[in-house]
Amino acid sequence: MRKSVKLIGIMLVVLFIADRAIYQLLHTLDKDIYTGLAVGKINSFLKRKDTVDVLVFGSSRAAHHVDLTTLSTANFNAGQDATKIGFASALVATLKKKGQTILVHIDHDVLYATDYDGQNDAQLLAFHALKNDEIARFFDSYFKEESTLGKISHSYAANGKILSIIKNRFVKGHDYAAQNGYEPLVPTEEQAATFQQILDKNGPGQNTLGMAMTKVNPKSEMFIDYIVRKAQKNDSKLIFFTSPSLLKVDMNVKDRTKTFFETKNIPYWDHGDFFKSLVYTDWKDETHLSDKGAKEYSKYLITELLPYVESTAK
Amino acid sequence: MLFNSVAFLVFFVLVFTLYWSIPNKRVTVQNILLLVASYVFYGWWDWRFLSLIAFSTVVDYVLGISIANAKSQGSAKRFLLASIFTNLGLLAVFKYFNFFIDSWVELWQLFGYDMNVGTLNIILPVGISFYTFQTMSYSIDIYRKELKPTKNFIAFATFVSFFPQLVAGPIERASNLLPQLLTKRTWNHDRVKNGLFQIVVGFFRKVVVADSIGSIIDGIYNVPEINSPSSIFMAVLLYSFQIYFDFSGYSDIAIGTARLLGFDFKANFNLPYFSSSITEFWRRWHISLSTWLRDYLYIPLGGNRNGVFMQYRNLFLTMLLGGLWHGSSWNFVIWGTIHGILLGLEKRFALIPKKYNFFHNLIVFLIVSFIWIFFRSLNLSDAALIFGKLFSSDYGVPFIGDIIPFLTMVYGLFLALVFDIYLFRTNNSLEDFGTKLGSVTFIVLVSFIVINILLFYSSASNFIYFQF
Repeated sequence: MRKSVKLIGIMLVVLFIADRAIYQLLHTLDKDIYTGLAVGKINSFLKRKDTVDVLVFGSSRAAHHVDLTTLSTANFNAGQDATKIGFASALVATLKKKGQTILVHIDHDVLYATDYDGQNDAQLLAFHALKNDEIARFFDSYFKEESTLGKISHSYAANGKILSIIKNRFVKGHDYAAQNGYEPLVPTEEQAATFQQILDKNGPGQNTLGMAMTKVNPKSEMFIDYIVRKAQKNDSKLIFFTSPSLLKVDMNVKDRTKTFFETKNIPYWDHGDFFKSLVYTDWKDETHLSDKGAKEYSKYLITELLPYVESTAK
Repeated sequence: MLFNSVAFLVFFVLVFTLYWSIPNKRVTVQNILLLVASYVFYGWWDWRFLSLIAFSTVVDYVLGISIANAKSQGSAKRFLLASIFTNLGLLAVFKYFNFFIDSWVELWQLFGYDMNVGTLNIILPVGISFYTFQTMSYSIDIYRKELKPTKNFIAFATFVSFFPQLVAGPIERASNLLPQLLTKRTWNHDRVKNGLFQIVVGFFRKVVVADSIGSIIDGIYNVPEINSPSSIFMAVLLYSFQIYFDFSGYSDIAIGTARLLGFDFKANFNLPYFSSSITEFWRRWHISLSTWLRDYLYIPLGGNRNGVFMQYRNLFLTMLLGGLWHGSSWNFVIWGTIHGILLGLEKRFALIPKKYNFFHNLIVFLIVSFIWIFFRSLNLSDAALIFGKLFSSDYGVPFIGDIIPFLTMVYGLFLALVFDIYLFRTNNSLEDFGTKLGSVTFIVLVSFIVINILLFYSSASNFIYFQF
């Protein structure tokens, strides 16, 4: 037994050294990368967050739907693919500037999800929790398991990042830090044809979010409450919103959502049905607008947003 | 509890430490610990179905002794039939009830009759196909006088529910596992090395290779109508690797975990895609099931003893039922049936002409890949659509989506295939690969694999064979 214990012990030491060495290498390579979603966009957000007056948080629907380029004040869209409200609240945790306007995108299926536990959000942020104190503190409070695992193994925290870091270190793409974080979607002809094919098969507007939406997910509510507290602490103006989608949501659910935010005394804008008629070129798929659709929607969003931004400026 | 979860890691470290800390390594105490751990492991998923395992355990324990003590061959046979009916009855109710009802209704609909028969909302208990086959073989072996029943209930209950292989096999024979449960287990350094190595390789195969492939091809298989023939062709080939690395990865973790606890399971996979024929494929793929089907179905049906025609029939029936074992859907029946037909044809003709022998591994791989289409498709119409697209002319360029997950998949698959090719070329088996490595090589290799798992694992998902 002693021989085996010795072997396992040495192996754990080798693993620990390799783990820390790889993290150091990645951390060095990762500095000043502002392209690519895995690290570039978050690095860009961390660089820009305290220099702008308006910030947008949320999933890919926020990233691809909100272009505030024409807004007179400095802004940054921190929306990120494959993330939910837990990810947004971790980013909000890093804000230091007072009086910002914060737009947080929320979807009904996230708010009422029965299986949302924030785990995926935590995995995407674990690497940044090792580098950023505010995210680390947020992790210690809200993602205890991921936080512990990330501290034990930095490679675990860096999961899924290594190829992205190497690629973006040597092949520069869309520089988020130099722009406002909005990610335009321009469907190819093939993608447009596929989308039309899907809609024709199902019938436009026939698809609904296939889940019972009766009770707000406690984790989602916990993250929303955190964002509310952080906004109050920073004297920021906070707005939650839902951007256009072709997936239909029951009116009762919409009303329930409205009431939910009213009880928290937070403005909530439901723009799910913003487009009254279906124009294929406005969409990439059922939940994502094309650049053309996003520009049209953003134009409207800015008109709603202006009174908030102007009052903050005063 | 999933192998690829933190809960299992904590659970296993705890069980492992307690297990080897038991004074004098007392077998009964170790078995009680394993039994309790196995019930916790299974109950983590759904504690209600523990009663099914307990029921199956008690029934086969009592019937096993009854078969051995029966005064006549006739009464032994009656006890055996009781065991078979109980186990197949559990499967019929929990796995096939709705399938039979639906198929019956659809059959009458073909003749224009609409039947209004309700189905039941039955949850499929995880692992039921595995542990029922395991307990059935125990009773059959006793009836055949190839095995003596155990009177040690704790050991028998542990044999039925032993957590490393409870939910997705390997289907361990009582003749292999029970004697190990009844004798003292001692710490063995080589066994620990083999076990550890097989576990890390299993995890790599599952969470880096299989899950990465799954994240790419699921979208293609779920909506084949919107995907190009080239994307579908790519998905068909990749699925062959996904199911292999998913299931063999699970088996590796199961076998390795058992090794760390002092048990030796039989190998469940032996590089199946290096087969030169379909017959060889089935000697290398899911060995514990294919040998079970051979010993308890094909041979009792007559095997090859009653002429060529009967041999074909027996092969056909064995594979058809083998297909149905995998799931209650016509897709699985067709999948098994095609394999049965090909196995029959191979007995008569060389499916791959001799002059093409050079390509035989590739050809067998392609044939198996095409048959997997029935296994993976959501329904028969999707399978037909996929075949239609594969034989269309407008192939185009495959859709690979985001480049980073695709590159991760390619990297993982490359490493896994290089390792498999090495095992094949050097005629090594993974089961005893760990001991062949010197300490330094072992440490470097295991560390390399673990770091790669941590850096490239794809988010946790269920093992494909859990559904069976």
